[in-house]
Amino acid sequence: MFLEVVYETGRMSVMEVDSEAEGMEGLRVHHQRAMKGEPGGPLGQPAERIAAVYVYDEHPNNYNEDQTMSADVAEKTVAELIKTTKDKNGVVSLDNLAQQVRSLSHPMNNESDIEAFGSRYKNKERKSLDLKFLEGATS
Amino acid sequence: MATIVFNRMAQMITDYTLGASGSITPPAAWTVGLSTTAVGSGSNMMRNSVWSVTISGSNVNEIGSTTPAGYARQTIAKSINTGSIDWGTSSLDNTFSTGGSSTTADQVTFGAFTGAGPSPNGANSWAITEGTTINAGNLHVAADTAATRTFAVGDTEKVTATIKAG
Repeated sequence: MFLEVVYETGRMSVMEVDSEAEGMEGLRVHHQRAMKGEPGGPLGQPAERIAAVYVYDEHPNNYNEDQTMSADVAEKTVAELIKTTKDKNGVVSLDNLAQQVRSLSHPMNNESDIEAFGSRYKNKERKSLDLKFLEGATS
Repeated sequence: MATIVFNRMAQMITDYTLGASGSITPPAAWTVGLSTTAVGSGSNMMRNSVWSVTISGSNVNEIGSTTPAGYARQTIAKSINTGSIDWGTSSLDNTFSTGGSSTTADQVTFGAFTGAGPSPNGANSWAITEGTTINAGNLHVAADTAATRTFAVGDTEKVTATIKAG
């Protein structure tokens, strides 16, 4: 399984683990270091407190990696993009339209669409972890 | 610090940009991986290197292939200053011999690592690649880390990728 970790700094990472318990162990240790002002890794960077953890069965990057869609959906989607991108003279920039089409298979949300400590990915998480497992971090 | 541009990235210029190829195309998003293989200078990694679990020749071996222990590839969005983690505005170094345009991505974080750390452990380089399957997908560029990074429980690793084309 995969965990998307959102740190209090706004940074995030994806972890592959065999179980939630395994992931919680590593995250608890890292969070504990942050609470004590200790380094977060061999580079010596500060550890960061953990603000949210989302659980996925697959890596959340795996979002339409083949970059395909059914012809019916493509027809409707492109028609809608043409409608929303044309100017007042009914002209469409093909470069802009191509960019919009390319981003249909993009796995990440735009920064402006992400709530504080929300998931960065379009794929829906299976659940989020209750962060009580971090509570013992300062003891 | 040694760096390398793999053939697939070069083909992005020759085939995709110049020729509008429909088969040599960028991925939906870039991913970043950590490798035990050092870039070297034409011996460890080559322009035609591939990800492989087999340690032989110029193969590139990814950490965590036996036991991820918190390791997974990280995503860099295929956008400029709009995605949550993506590329910055490019800038020009106008130096005739060594110049070019460069862009720096938002920093990505690996981990926190778990248990006894990933197996294999010990990152000597990072690579811009595609997909999320360990030891698979096209390689685009790689660069050595400043030192071997060996990860233990609770560790994270930060990589800030700068790509210069010139």
